[in-house]
Amino acid sequence: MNIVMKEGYEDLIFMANQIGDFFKNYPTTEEAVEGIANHLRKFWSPSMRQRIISYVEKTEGGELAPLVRLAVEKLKSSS
Amino acid sequence: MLTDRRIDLGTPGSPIEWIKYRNGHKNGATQNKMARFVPESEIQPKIVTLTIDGIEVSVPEGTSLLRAAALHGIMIPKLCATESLEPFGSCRLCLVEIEGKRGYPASCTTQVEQGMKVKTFSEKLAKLRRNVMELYISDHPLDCLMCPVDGDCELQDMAGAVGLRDVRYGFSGKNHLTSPKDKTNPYFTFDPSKCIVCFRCVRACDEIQGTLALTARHRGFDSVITPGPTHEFLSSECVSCGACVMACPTAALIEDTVIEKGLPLKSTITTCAYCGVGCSFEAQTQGYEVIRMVPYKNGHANHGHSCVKGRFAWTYALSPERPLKPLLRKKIEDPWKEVSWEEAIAYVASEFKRIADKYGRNSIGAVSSSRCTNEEDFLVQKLVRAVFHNNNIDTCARVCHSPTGYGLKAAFGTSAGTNPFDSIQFSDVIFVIGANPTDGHPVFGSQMKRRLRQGARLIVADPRKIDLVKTPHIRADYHLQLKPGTNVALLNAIAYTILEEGLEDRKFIEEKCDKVSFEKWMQFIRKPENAPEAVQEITGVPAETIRAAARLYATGGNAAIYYGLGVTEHSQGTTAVLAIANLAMLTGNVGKEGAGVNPLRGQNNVQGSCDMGSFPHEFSGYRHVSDFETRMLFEQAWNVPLDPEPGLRITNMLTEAVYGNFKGIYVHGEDLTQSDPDSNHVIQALKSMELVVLHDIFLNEMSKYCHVFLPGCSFLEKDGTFTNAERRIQRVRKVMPPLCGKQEWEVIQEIAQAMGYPMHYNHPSEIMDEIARLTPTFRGVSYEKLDKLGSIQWPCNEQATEGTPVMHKEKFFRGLGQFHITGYVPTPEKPSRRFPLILTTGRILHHYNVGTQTRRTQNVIWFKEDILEIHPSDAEERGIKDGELVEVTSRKGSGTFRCKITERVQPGTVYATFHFPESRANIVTTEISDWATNCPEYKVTAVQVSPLAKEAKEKTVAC
Repeated sequence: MNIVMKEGYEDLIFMANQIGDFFKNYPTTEEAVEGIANHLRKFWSPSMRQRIISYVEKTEGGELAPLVRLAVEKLKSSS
Repeated sequence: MLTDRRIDLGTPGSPIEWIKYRNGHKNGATQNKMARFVPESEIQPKIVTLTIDGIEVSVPEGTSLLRAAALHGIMIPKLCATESLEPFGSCRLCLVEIEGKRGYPASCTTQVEQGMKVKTFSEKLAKLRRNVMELYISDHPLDCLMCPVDGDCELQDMAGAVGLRDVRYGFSGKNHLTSPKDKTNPYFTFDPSKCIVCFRCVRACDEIQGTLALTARHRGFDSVITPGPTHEFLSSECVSCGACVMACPTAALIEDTVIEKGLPLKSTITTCAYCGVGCSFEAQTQGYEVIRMVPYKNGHANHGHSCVKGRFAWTYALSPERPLKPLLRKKIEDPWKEVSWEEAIAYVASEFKRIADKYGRNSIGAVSSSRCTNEEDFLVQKLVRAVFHNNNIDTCARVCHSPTGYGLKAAFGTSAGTNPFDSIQFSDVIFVIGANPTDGHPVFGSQMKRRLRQGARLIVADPRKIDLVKTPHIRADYHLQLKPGTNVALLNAIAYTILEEGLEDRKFIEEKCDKVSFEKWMQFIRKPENAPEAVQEITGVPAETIRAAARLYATGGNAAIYYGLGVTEHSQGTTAVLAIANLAMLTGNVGKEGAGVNPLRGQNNVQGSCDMGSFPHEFSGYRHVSDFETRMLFEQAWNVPLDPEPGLRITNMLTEAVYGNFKGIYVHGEDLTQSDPDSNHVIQALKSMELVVLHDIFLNEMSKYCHVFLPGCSFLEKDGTFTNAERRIQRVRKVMPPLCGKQEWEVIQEIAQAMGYPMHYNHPSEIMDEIARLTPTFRGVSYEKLDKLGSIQWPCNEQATEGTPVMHKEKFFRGLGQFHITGYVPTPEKPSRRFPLILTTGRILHHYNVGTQTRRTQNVIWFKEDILEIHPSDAEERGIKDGELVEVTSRKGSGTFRCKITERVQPGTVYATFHFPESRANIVTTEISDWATNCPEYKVTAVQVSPLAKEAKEKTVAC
């Protein structure tokens, strides 16, 4: 069992990538990353945000879309 | 004794009369022509002055003599006329004399003329009327004292009014006195011997309901009213809306409860607890016993109309299956034990405290219900925020219209529909997408059909041929029969066409919308991937049809969009709502009558539960918990510090429970196992918790996994308010005392008190006062004002003291309308060789959601099990025969349905209802949900359908 399954990151990764799919059509990377980070800040509970940050810390966010990974890093730096 | 069936012709109240009032009296158009909205300032009705019985009267042009007389207190005898219907002129009782005109015209079909001199009573008229009544009575049973409507019969009244004393013809001639009754309908009886063939029932079915199920068979004396095509009500096209029963002037069509128990003696105006239309009803009672529910003619949402559920399917409230005492067990394997309210509430409070102490304050939470009142929902979120000290509150609106809340707030500034239902009378184009109003919202569906019969154009976007696509006198101009899951691609292609062909409303965009967002959106939407020619492969809708529909929507006049769960319950539900908002702004179809973006809410109080702060990220009035000023307002009012971070949604609570982080939940009026996706996951989560409290009227499926059951109240047993799909706040009034002894707001308050928080209200009106103090859009709302006005559409505040029917008129609520980029992302749920078909789901007229209520009524006579619709070619390929049981298997699980082979669905798509737990629809659906809100994707599941194995079939039948 990999870390995704073992530590219950599966759902969060799926949801975060879905959010990334919406914002990926934004004109610039900055806008897309800000959009994703802002959504996570407004609608995810602190425990969910902390878990996705911890996933990126532990694994470098391999299963997250690049824009989402950038957004989680932004979230981490602002938290 | 109540006299609801004797209708006063003086004030508009019924659907048709209301339309006449708006169209005829205000702007001079007749209701059969396309009416255009005219501002109040431009309305100058032509007034006609005439003399009736020597009294000078002035009325607007177009008024009938019967109505003109009634408006001035002169009542002319009548039988076939009623204000809810167009004049017919058949009964020949309302005859009058007009100076200078020959004969005795019927006053109901004769319009006023300037200078006319009318006599409504004379010896000649009296004789004519007596002769007419004599003929009626010669073929009518004279059992008045034993008749169910004795004292409430218009024939009886008119016989008295014309002074009938004798019937010269005797009763031995040809007559209908022994005609057999039609008792096939479970709710009402048709007795032809009491029918006077006035056609009120036929006209009600035509004009109000729009089903056209009734007609008169044979001619002359042999004429008899009959439901077509089968000549008996149950198997006919009749939809049991009750409009015919309401319109009948005698006991020919009468509720069975009145036959059985007699006429009601008291009436209480309240609001239906089924769908989001929010029909007003008179709950008519003898003592505390409900005899019948009659649609209230002055109801602002329904104007005196109803559907089979609200009108007749209320008996679940009296079901013997309702537990009336609290139940408790420490482990879910144990049997239930009846306990006192005190013991139950003390246990719930101490357990929540224990769990919070042991696992942390975020380990508990609650789910409130879109079926409960605003006041109850407000208290549940207050319980969570102020007493549980977290924001783990969510509502069952999560699984239906949460994308509406997100999308419309982002685009327009408020999480609500823009226009009232009545606004549709000024629509030139109606665009229905992902909604089935004639089944899901039948009373509004009838209003929509009226407008369509008047000539409004219709676009339907739905994978299935819903009734609106082709129904009597209505045919959709365009049916965009798209593949499930492709709404966003279709909406983008419509927008692409409008821009490419220069059909956008530049003036509206420049004046009312955010220019930066529009420019960015325009760059996106003009990409070739959004062209209809590119999208047709994705949606299955030919490019030229998409273009034609786009042209009609953009150029056809006032265009209104109505949508439902076929838009929201997708992985891109929120994106689709944003795309709909883009379309409306692009064409200037917001902020005016006849237009707008109008979500058809599934449950009675979806709008209200969202308004009340039932989502984990926002307080009442859609203000984010991180907003400092708002939080301070609540902290001061509730005298407790509040969490500035969003809490867990239902899905997140369940997932956290599985991981061992979430341990206690209070669920109010909701069945998580049936309403939420992936039932196995829900059950696993519930089993992982140490306290599951269910507050409901029935031991639903979820109760199997609960530790405490708190008995709830039906809408007949409580005071409060519901807010319907058009933001209309309406009173729910207690008709009988709560059968379990406590109203639900009292129970929530007692849990809070037992946990040490001082929550003290004496009546729900005090809760509404607090809501008004803390919520800007509700600032002007009070029970006193609701009683005075009948209903209020929020925002209601200093700027709009009586509410706001049409929103965003001068400017958008958020200032400038915001365009959003809406890229199409296919759902991850794709068909495969193993699961080659796409299953989509929906409601039918006779049942409501998971069926907890309607399955406990006689509505099961129409549908006693769920149905799966499959195209003939798909059925043939699998050797499936019509009417047999089939197994539907997805990647998640399988269910059993009765199969119906039909071309309503296209090849590759199957459609199922989800009203019966035995079919296990929620075992079949996936865990995929909307990207923004986690609203489940109930509308797209890859499945295989196969004939049920013989042994399984035998087992299912035996069950």
